[in-house]
Amino acid sequence: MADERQAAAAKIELDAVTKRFGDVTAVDAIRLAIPRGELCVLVGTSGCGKSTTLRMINRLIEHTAGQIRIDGQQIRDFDEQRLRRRIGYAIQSTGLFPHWTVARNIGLVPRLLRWPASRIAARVSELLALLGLDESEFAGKYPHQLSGGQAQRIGVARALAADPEVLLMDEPFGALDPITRESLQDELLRLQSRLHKTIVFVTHDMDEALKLADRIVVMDAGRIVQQGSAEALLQAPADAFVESLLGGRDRGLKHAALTRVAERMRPLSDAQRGDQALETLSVAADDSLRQALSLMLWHGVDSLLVNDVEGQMVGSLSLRDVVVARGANS
Amino acid sequence: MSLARRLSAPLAWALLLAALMLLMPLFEEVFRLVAPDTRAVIYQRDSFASLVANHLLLVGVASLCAIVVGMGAAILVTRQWGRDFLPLVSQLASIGQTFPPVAVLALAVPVLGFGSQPTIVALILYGLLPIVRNTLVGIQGIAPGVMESARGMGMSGRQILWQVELPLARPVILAGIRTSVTINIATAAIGSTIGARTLGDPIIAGIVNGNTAFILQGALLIALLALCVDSLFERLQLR
Repeated sequence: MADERQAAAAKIELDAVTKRFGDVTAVDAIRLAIPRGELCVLVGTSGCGKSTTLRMINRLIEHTAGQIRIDGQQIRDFDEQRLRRRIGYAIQSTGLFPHWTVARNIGLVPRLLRWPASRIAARVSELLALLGLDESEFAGKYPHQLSGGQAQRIGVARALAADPEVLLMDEPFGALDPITRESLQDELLRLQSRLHKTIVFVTHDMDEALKLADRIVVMDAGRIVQQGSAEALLQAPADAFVESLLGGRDRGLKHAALTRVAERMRPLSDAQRGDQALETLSVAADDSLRQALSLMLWHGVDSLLVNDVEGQMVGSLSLRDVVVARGANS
Repeated sequence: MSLARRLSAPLAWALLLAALMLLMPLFEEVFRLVAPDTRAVIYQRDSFASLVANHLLLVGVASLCAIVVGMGAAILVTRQWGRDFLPLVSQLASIGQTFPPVAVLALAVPVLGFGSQPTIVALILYGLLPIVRNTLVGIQGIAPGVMESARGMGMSGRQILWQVELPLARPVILAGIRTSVTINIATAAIGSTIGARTLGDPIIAGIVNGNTAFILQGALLIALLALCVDSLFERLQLR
């Protein structure tokens, strides 16, 4: 009963929240309700107030006016340290303590919460395994011995250590090279599909937002310009600013990047299965339409074979399938 | 590194110091070479051991006070609520350093009289700057991301100070204390001009009586004492 009511209510609510630094209004009366388990990405140019908004949620910055509620309770009703221990926090520079080992860094919040040592050790092992890091190799290392991607993984593990329901991430992947960034994004999606945290994620990278977000909140000059799913934003950007963030004329490609090949392919008939020699190029069903299109452009073909994860041929994809959704013309 | 090996260098200097301090009369012939015309070649008004002990005591008390006051002040002005006093404290510490210790002695004598007390005051003032400055640099040099995440994880101010700031600033703070103590071992000798018993005694006596051997004996012991303490700090910093 109580669970149902909580599930219905927003996990994090911002109600006309304003932040002024002296005469400057950094965040201007924004309203935002983030449901439980949603990955909400705040996106905008630097200085738009997205980081300020994030940091107001764990009270690293105190809001000037309005109300911020978590589970319906105002954050000002909590002791600020207790509030922060309940909220995971990961930042771009990782902020790992250089004089502590990886294991000790991860165990920080559980230790603040006075968990018994054995429970902390078990939790550290669990998190290292969850993030695909070998415990015997990494637990005793110091942060300066880690690569950027590994350090950021540890940063995320530390944020998750006390199993918080809310996770705040401030451009966590912003300083990584594109390949590492992409693998960490995939990892975050994989984690989120298992953990269902309520995540507020700040980035200036619209591609990152489109890839990760259940809901994208576009901010400009301290206000929310538009919010909605990636699909909704691409279909109907609210104004020229959102459109330019979405890449203007590249929008079609960004949209294609969001759609899986599996959604558009035609299943192969048995007869066609025998004919496979005709077409040698193939994409995976999990690839995006954008990748399929790129392949077609590069090789100058207008159709591709589609393989599933095991490499079994499962369908075909023509240029027309890419351009026109089948639902639209059938 | 084992404790014994880690302490080998300071121990060597300490042994040398102890040997010279206790066995100075054995070197009478050597010192006679530098002061052939004097009757007494070895300073005898006081035992060298008691001078070394008293010298160390003065420096120890002064350095302890300088550490407590200096680190305390630097920590206070790096707290959120103490930030307004940061420029003031930096300036005061600099002034303490530019003020010549002899002038401090001259000013302190009318208030505190002759002897150890004015010497200690002068040494405290003189030793403050390196400690204050290095504590400030050490704490302010911590990566902003580390401080941000420490706060964001829900650590209290005290936890951040003891578990993050001081351990990370430790090498820099230790370097400051090392400079301060080493300088003060040398500076303490001037306490002898106002009646404190230090290793400056043989030096002053040597200057007054034109006895180079006395001067040399005082200077040698001060140098060995400084080297001994300095190498001890070097080992501490290495940890």
